[in-house]
Amino acid sequence: MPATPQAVLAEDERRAVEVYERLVRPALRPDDEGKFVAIAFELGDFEIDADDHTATERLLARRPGARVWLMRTGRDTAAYRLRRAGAT
Amino acid sequence: MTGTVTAGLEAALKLSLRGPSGTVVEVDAIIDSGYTGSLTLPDVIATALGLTRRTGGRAVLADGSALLFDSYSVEVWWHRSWRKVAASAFGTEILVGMRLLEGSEVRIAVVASGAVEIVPLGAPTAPHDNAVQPQ
Repeated sequence: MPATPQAVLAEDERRAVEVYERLVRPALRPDDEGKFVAIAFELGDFEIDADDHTATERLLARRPGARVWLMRTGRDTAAYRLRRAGAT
Repeated sequence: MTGTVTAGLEAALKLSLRGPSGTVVEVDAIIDSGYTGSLTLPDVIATALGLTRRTGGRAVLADGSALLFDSYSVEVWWHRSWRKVAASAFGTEILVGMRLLEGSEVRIAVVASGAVEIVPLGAPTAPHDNAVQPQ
């Protein structure tokens, strides 16, 4: 499967962030801090779990074929951090 | 799991990855405690395993820049069983990150050709399970 063009990924993220701010952030509980949130941004649906794979697969089980973006709750909503520049 | 420290002082190990159709590939991986995900994969490996895209995401690098990536579900042979993890497709290397290592103890003799052992937390000795896979 070819890699998704960066411009498409950037648009996916923009739409997912909009859903995050509108639907996810108001629904967060204190114990959700740092958990993963998978967002079906075209459908306005999401799943939260401490495990990234679980959040994604639970959402896709309910929304087969949905276009999903993975984020993390909290101050920095990037899914992951990566310090090894040589890997990119 | 066992591996070896390279001449460049990287903790390397071989991993078996399995795709949805049962295709298994053995790959060289590097332990990277600076990566908070489970696994990174080059696109070519995702294609070889027949993985289907599950999600996209963002990783923040040490210099503050961002990397947008496709993510796949893949099975990795880990502590004597197949474990499904999210694999981020970027770069040319396969990195084992802290999410996959969670619940494990990592022992590295940091010298060229030194031993690398990854054992479940609480395990008294390293099970040398790399070669033992289910049919």
